[in-house]
Amino acid sequence: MITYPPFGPSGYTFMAGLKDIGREDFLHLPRPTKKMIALGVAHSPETICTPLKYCVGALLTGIEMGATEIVFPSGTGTCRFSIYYELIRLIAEDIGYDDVTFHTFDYHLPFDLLRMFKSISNNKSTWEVFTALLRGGIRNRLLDDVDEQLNYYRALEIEKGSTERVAESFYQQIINTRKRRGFSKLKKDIPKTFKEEVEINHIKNPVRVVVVGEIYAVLEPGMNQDLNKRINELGVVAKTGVSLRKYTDIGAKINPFIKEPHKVAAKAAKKYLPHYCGGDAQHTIGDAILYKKKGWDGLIHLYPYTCIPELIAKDILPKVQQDIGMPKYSLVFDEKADGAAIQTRLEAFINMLKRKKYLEN
Amino acid sequence: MGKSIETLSSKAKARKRVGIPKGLIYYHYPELFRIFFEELGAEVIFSKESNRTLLLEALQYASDEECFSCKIFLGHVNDLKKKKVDYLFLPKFHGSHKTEVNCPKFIGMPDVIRAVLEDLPQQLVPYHSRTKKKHRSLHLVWSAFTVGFKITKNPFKITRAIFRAVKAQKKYDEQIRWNEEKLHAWERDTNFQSGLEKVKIVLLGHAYVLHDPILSFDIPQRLTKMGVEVITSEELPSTIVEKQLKKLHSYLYFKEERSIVGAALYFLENETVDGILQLIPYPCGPTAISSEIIMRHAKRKEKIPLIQLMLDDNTGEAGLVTRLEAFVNTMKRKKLLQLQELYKHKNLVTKQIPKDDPIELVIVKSTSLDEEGAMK
Repeated sequence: MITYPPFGPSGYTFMAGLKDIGREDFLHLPRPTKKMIALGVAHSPETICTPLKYCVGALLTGIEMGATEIVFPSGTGTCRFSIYYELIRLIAEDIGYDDVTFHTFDYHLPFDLLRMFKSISNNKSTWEVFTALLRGGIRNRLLDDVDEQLNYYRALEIEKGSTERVAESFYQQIINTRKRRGFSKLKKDIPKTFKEEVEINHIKNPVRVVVVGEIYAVLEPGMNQDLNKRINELGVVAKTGVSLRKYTDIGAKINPFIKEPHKVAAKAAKKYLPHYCGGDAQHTIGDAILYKKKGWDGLIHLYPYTCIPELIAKDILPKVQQDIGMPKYSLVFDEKADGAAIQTRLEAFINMLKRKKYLEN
Repeated sequence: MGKSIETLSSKAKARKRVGIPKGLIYYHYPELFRIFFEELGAEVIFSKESNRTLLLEALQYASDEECFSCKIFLGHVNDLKKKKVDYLFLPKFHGSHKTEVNCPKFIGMPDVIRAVLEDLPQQLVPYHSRTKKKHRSLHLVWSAFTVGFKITKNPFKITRAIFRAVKAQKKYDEQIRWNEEKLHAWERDTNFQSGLEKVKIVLLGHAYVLHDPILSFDIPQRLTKMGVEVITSEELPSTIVEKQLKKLHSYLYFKEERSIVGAALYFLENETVDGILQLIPYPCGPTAISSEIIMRHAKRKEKIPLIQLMLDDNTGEAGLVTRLEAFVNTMKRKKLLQLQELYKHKNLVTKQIPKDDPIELVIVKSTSLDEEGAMK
């Protein structure tokens, strides 16, 4: 059985990709539970960034559930993510899971990705694997579209839970679609269906908040304690510019006419953080500036404990906040992150934004 | 007359003052930076040696999650700000190797300083990254020129400065890095003249930790005072390090962690030292990786003891020294027991050990313990 770390709704991309290359014996891990996290914390180093603890916990649970193969990125980079594989391997060996095979690839190199997927595929040709990868990029784009609609309609819905039902059905459709035509039909369907099926309060000018930060903290609801949902329940529209597309969308990388969002953001952040320093630090600061220009009301910055690049961004953000006047709130997540504590702090921040908006109008 | 004196004094004043903070990258290339600016005709001003007051001032500006070495670095910059320098030299050096990089803080720190501290003097921030931007060595020369033109307008002077600075740095590197012959000679030299075995420790840590009195809590000096022979990870020849790193399954791309992990793996394999000591500034990013790799490898070879001391701005000196002494004394005791076995075997008396031996003191202590029966 083959498995991979949990990654929020974006994890469906991996699942569908494995189905495409003929592997039916995969294990899609559920969202990290308290038990999984405790297992991860017990085995990983103390001051490592929190996503490793989550990954270790989830993957060890996966091995206990019978997985024998693990797909995990490796290679070189600037932040610590690319060396995770070495630690996970050592940890698994020390526990005594010797028969686990790791499939590693350098996620910066598309050819390496292709080679790895070919090696784990079920007798598929290189072309089929390549199209599967392309489809992965498209699926990820659609998943992002669904998330964007979900984070808008959930804030304004009248019947609680109706938006999530629609989103869930779309997730399943995206996983099961294989044809190119199906994807383009879905792309048109997604905004239309949300508009038709979800009844909303027509509030004239809702408070809008943008969520930025480290990719795993933003995209994995198990880590950020359903932050998007919590924001929406307070009647506030949320959006995130962070996406796994940065790595999976080969189509956008090949096409010179598509401007990738992380590159646009990096350009905007030039005044404060002109050079790439790993992770999503530039993306964070760039988004703060770009969304202020678009007229958004606030910014919530999420980062895992001891993440090096995001700490740099966190230190610079107060200066950005002073200069452009964008209210921001930095939230740190570690393995002890608790829903109630975050809820209180979030409510205080959102109420401040609402009050500010009310006074302005 | 009066005029000429005035112009003379103004010329003397016009000598630009360049401030170099003594932290992070400075300890990688100390000679390079100093000689380069001196040759250009600038007055090089270093921040003072780090001490407790400097740290306390830095804590006012630094965020609490910042790593200990960066907090100290902020203190140094703050010190230079007070000294009223014309230029602040804060290079961003990502790495001149295809894959090996420095910690992300090396690139982000100048930007953080700009955001955190106010009224800073003009900064010289050259950026070089082969890993990300595919800069070649010519780019290094170009950035040296752009920095040089801020201080002098004479290109020949800059060229001369570059050559002399590189030469001085190479000499410094040769002094720091041992060659393999010297290492093997050090390993073979095991006994004192009296026949007692020496206690040897490999000290692992970043260059900016080992050379800094606050970050390292003077541990290298303390160890030599205790009569322990110390080899540090930066002294180990790079050929040996590269050979050892092939044991890992993935490529360790942090430049300094390579020598740290390489040194640890080398001594775990050869067993020519008695203990491994690693210094970790809390919460250092790259060291979290290296310490775990070393710990997991050391567990598999139980012969060599390993201690990892985590240091931060709240670490008490007394507690740290106790742990250090305990670690060193266990190794000394092991040697002593071996010696006693040897003497029993040969029917020799312990009195033969000369008094000037550094380990002698401990022998007296532990033998007295033995008499009381506490040792058993």
